[in-house]
Amino acid sequence: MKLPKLSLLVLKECIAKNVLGIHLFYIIVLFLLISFAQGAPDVFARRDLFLDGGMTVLFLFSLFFAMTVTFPMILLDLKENRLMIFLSTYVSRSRYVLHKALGAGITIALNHIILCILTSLSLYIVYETHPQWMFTVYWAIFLESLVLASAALFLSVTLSRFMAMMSTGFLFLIGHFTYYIEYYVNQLGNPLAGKIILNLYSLLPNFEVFGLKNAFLTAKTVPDFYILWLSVYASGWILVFLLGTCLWMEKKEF
Amino acid sequence: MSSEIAIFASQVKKSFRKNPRHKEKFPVLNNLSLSVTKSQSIAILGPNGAGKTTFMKALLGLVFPDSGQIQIFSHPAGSQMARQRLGFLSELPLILDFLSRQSFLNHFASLISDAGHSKDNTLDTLIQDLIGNIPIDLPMSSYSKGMMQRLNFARVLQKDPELIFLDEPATGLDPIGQLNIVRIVNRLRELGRTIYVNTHSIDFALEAADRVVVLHQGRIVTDQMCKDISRSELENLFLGLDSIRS
Repeated sequence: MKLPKLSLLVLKECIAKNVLGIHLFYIIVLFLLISFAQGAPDVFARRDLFLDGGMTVLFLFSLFFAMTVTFPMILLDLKENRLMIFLSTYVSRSRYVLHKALGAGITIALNHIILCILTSLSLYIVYETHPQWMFTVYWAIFLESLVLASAALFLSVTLSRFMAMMSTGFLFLIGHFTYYIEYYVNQLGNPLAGKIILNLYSLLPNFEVFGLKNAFLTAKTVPDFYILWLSVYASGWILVFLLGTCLWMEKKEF
Repeated sequence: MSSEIAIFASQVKKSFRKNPRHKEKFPVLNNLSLSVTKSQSIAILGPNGAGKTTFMKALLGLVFPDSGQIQIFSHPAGSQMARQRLGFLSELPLILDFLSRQSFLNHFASLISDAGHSKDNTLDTLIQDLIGNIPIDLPMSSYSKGMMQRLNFARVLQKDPELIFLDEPATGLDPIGQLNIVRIVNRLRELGRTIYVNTHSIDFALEAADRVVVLHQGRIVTDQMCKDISRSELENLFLGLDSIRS
């Protein structure tokens, strides 16, 4: 399959800017994590401690990378005078957005694969084990990265730079707050207000559904259909954000 | 000379808000009408804020007029059919600083083939003239402004456009660079390309165009063939506009 040139350009630009150099930091963090886990009383506790920490670090690195790749993608083209030339002479506005988004998706996937390989290798080398469920968690983190990246892309074109950064951060935080929301709604004592809050929450992406690590670490089973549902859920949100970005770009003047 | 209309703009109006918080708008283009035939070279002159850039952006489909009609070769501005037939050289060169000369040109050549455009090779010599002394292996980040502008001109030409938009193409270039741009534009005129150039330079307009249009406050104040107007007449016209402004 031939990749669109604009998509390849995103990947090339990231490589040229040494963005993938974050893996050096990641290796250092993994070393620190291994040495930290050595304080646990037995090998199983050490392994679980490393798994818990490793998955959290992978999640943070993947999401941060996804945001930093996607957020300036269109803004930089606008600032550096490329956008006017691309849109006036070479590609339609929607095609531009979709090809760029595909490029970002490929870059995020490449980064995520490298991070996952590093995590799995560290675990296997140090603890000589590799639970099968890690692949499911890897997939869930990747889906969450893509949802956040598409949200960052949408907000970066619709809002000012400052507001877009704040809103992406806010969306991420509030999307992870859903775990506690039912507790707070119960504390309210007003069923109508609680219902309104819960319904308002359902209008935003719920990032907590991607958090499978704890379920696996506490030996809970996650059914196959849940993974399928998760993939559909993420695809739905990605489509919504990309469609929103395309529509906005179609109406925007440069 | 062919009588096909390359650019057709009729009663184009555009206004912008003074401030995003205020509803009050100020007009930038006031019922502007312009028709450019194929193979004609037209220079748009005007003081800052005259509406030159907004009008060019409207022709390129980057700005949407409030009212009026714009067509490029009988297709709506910004449509795929219009886009395929035009090239655009902006005032600030497009820079992909991590690419070398050839990678840069290859990248844009592939964007053209993605759009299904077939290329005529008549401009190859001109492209070679433009990029001949630009280092092949070095990344764009090491180029001078003149090199970047010439490489961008080559990018525009490799698309083999019938209509070429130039926005202040000689700004920031040394005298030799400016002369080179005039020479290339004149060569393109000989090859029958339609040229639309925004410029502040009266000399550039008279040397590189068949027709000169002066804009002021979004209106055309003069539209004449270059052979019918002298440099001093254009200068006097500008001084008159300046006194209106002050």
